[in-house]
Amino acid sequence: MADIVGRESEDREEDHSPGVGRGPEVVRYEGPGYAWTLDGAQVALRVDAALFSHECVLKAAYKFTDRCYVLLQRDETCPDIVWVVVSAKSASVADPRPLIGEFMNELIDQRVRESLGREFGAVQTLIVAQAFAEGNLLDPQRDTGDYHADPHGAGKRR
Amino acid sequence: MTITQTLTALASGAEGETTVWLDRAFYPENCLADAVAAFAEHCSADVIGDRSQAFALRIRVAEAERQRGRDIVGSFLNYLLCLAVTDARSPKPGL
Repeated sequence: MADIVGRESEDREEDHSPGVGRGPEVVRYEGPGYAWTLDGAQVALRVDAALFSHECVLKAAYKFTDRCYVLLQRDETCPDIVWVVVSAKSASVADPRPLIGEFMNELIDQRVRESLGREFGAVQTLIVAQAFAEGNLLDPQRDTGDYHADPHGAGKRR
Repeated sequence: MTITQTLTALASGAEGETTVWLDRAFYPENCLADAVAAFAEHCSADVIGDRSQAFALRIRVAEAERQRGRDIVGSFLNYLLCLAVTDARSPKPGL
């Protein structure tokens, strides 16, 4: 089992720790992030929903479904906390810590993609639309205009 | 459901039957029927509890698949997650 840095009971005073005394002992998991484990094989990572939207968490989780079993759960006492339970598919993967670190990086990646989508979504839509359009969407006269008519006034003296 | 109970629930998938509470924000209930149909040969799943934000799903692994109980339950939940991602990406009526 992976190294354990602290017992759940030591963190009782900390907000939003997993339920205490309501089942088998859950312990803090050494490694990146704030995570808990039951037996080392499956780890619950706490994610702050104020930092990462539901869609970010969902997309990040989806990207890990080829390597892990993933379960998403909202904290019952604090809706702003989401627990991501990760369990390696292969029994030979005894230590899921690297997966937790990768998952945290993936969350940031999805968050950045979300920001870029908000910032440049309209431009992206325009580029895709232009790629499939026959004419010029921004300047319809550019390709089909008659140069004799000189719609842009290129021949006018400045 | 505490995270302790969630971790226990996933671990007990190996025993052939487990119950998990799924949040509707992540797992829309309309995806459930498709997942149940896709895994009909391997397991059954029934909604046995209901709250405003979540529903309890009892997953029973088929007798012939008991040895792979953990994988069946995990795969079922992964499949449900994939359907949820697809559902989130598809345009909603009226938008």
